[in-house]
Amino acid sequence: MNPENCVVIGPAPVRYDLQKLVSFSDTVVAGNTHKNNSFTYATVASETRLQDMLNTPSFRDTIILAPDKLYKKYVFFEQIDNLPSLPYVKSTGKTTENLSDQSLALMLALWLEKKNIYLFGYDIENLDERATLMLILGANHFSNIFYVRKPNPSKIHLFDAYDNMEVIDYNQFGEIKNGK
Amino acid sequence: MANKNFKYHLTVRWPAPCRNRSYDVLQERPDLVEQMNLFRQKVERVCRLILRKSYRIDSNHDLQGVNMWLESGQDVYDFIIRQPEFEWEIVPELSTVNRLTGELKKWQVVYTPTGITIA
Repeated sequence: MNPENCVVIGPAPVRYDLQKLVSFSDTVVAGNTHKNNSFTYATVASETRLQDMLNTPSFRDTIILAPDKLYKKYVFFEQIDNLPSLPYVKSTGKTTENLSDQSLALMLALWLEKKNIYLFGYDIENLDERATLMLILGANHFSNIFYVRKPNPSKIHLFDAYDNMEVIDYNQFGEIKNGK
Repeated sequence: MANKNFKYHLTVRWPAPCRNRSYDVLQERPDLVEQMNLFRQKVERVCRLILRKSYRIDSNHDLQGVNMWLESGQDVYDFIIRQPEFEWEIVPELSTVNRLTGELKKWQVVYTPTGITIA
């Protein structure tokens, strides 16, 4: 497992073996999606999703991170910790309480100072989410972020303006993972 | 037990006559020291009785009270809620160790008619 890498798993469906991602690097999952695997970290900003995660056995060994306001309500559950102060929140003009789980997951990966961050199942169809992602990309100058998707001949040019963002497919990720 | 990662920290106040006594006063008042030792033993006995998971009682002296580290959140809740039963009072603060950052963060314990909340 390379400590410089991190995989962020968003709420959209992922057609990739998640177990392989778990063995590849630290993983940050957004919310209560993908319940069949156990991940290193999970971020959550909604109380109902947090309750579901607390009742899901696969999250038992996961460090669940929530904003302070939510954490205080569930302080007596050992699986939960409060999110650290995330430096990129300010650049989005929002607070940790009203950011989505996937934005928090990406910000956590950035806070962990991972050199390469791979986004799987990251929802960019939602325009708000896309705008937030672009604001984070604009503020980040340390990590290389890879948007990983299933092989598709049509290109995405949304992130062409960002040097720190690249769109790759599962095959290219497989090559990176295997060190080719 | 020494290698356990205790997540929660709270302080049980000394009995009223022993609170906020300086070291000089304690040296002159062995009766207070004895009372404090007995109190610490009582806390230890009750913990052994009611707590389900690991705990640690600090042996270092603190002017405020007996410092405790607990592993389980459920134990912390029970310990706080059952204070009247054992006739003691905690400092209304709960500290938690963040597993990601290692930071010890302090929260206020607020008593409400239905239980407790954290502020």
